[in-house]
Amino acid sequence: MTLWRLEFLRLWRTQRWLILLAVFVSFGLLGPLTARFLPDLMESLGEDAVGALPPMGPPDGITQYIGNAAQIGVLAVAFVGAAAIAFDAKLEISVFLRTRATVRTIVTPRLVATAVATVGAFVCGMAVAYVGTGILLEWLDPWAVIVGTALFGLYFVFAISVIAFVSGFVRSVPAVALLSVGLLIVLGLLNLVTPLAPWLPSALVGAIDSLIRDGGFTYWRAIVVTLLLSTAMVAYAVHRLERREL
Amino acid sequence: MPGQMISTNAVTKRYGDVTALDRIDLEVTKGSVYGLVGPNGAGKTTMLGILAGLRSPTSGDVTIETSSVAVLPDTPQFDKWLTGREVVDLARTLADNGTPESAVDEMLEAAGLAADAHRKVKGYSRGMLQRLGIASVMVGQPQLLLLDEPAAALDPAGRKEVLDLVAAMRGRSTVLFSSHILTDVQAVSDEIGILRRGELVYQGSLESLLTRYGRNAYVVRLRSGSAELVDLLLAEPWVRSVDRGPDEKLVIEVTDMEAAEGGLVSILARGRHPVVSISPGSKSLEDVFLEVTA
Repeated sequence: MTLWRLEFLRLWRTQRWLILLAVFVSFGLLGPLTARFLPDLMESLGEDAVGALPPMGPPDGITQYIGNAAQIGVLAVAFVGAAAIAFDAKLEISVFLRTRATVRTIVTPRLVATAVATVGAFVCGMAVAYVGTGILLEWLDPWAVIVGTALFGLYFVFAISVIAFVSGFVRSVPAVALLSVGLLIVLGLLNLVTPLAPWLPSALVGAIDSLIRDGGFTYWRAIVVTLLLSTAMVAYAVHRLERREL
Repeated sequence: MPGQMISTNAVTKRYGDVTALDRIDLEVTKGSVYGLVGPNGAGKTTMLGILAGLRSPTSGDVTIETSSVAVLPDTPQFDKWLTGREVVDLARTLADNGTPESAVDEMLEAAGLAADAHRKVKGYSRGMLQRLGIASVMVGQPQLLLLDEPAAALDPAGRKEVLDLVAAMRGRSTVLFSSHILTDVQAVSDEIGILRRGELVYQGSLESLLTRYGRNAYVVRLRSGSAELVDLLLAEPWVRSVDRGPDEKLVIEVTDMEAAEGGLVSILARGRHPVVSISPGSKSLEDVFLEVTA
C-alpha cells in the first residue's frame, strides 16, 4: 500500500469521485437542454417572459454548463477537495502519516488525486455538454472546446492549490472549504478590475465561451500567473505544514 | 555496554505562560523499555510529541540516535474506509526498510487481529484500534518505539497481551512508553521517569526508586497484646512510629534497620508476646508514586 494507492482508494471508497462526476455530468446534461428548450418554455409563459431572456444560440449549450461549473461546481470541488486535503483535520491520522513520511510525499499524491478526479469529472461533464449541444443545437468547433476545457481545467488545478494553501492555515474541513470559496470569490471579483483581468486565473473560466464564439487566444498571461500562483501556494502550504505542531 | 538511544538536555516547552516541560534531561538506554509515568497533565504527551518531532521544544536539545522511529498516539485512529491489513501494510511500506509483506500478517496475528484483518477499520472497537496501532508501529521493526498510553483502552487480558508485545521488543528495539497505570510500568520497564507538573522528578530503575523513597519498616503480627507493645516500642530511640492495624498487626517504622533487627526481637521476647509473623514492610509503588508526585 503506497501513499498514491491510499489517495486513489480514498477517492474511490469515500465515493467523492462519484459526487464530482454526478455534479458535472448533470450540469453537462442541463446546459444544452436549457439552451435548446428555455426559449420555448419562456414563450409558453408569454411575450413579456421572452423579452426578459437574451437570445440563445448553439454556444449557449456550453456557456450554460460553464456557468454552473464555475459556481456550483467550484463549490462542490471546494467541499470535496477540503475533505481530502485538510491535512491535519484528524490529528491521530496525521500523527500516523507524518511520523512515517515527509509532508511533501504525503501532500503530493493527495493533491494529484483530487485534481485528477476534479478535472476528470469536469471533462466528462464537458463531453456530455458538447455532445448534447451537437445533437440538440449545432456541432461546435471541437478544438475551441478542447482548448477551453484545458484552460478551465487549469483553473480547477488553481482552485485545488487554493484549498491546499488554506489548509496550511486552518485544520477543520468546513473552515478550509469556506475560506477557499471566499478566497476564490475575492479573486474572481478582482476580474472586474479591467487592467488586472487578463492576468488573473479567473480569466481562464470564461475562455471557452470566447473561444467557441471565435474570440482570439489571449490567455498566456493568465496561464503563466495561474501556474506560478498554484506552485507558490502549494510550496507555501508544504512549508507551513512542515512547521505545524501536532 | 549499550549507549543512549535518547538524550535530552534541558528541554523546555512553554505554551504562553504555561510551562508544560521544564528543563527535562531524559536518558533512555538503547534496547531498554522505559516507562514515563505521571499524573494527567504532567507533560507525558508533550514530551513524546517532542521526541517524535511533532512538536518543537521552546529551548533545549534532543538527541535521538536513529531515524527509525514509530509513534503510537494515545487514541490511534485510521482512515475508516481502510481495512486493518491495509493500515499495517501502509505502515510497512512507509517504513521503507525492505520488510517483507508476510510481516503484515505476522503482526496482525501477534496483535490478535488476524480474524479481523480484512474488515474495515470503521467497525473496529477502541481496543481493536489500539491493537491495530501496536501492529502498525511494530511492523517495520523500528529501532525506537514511542508509545503513548499503549494499553490504556484495553481490558486486562488485552493489556497483558500488549505489555507482552512491548516486553518482547526489549533488546531488539528501544521502547519509551507513557502510562499512568503503575502495574503496567512495573511489569515491563527497565527504567522509569516520573514527571510531575512538567518536571522530571525521578529517573532510574524501579528498584532504586523503591529504595530511595521506600520506608524502613517491619510488620509484626501478634496473636494478642499488640496495644501494650506499642508503648514499649515507642520508647525505643530507633522507632519512628507505630501504626496499629486490625488483627493485632503493627507496622513499625524505624530509623535504623540494624538497630531494629536486634531490638525488635529482644522486646518481643522480653514481653513474651505471642508472635504470628515478622516481616520487613515497604511502600508499594503506588505509595511511592503518590509521594513523589504530591
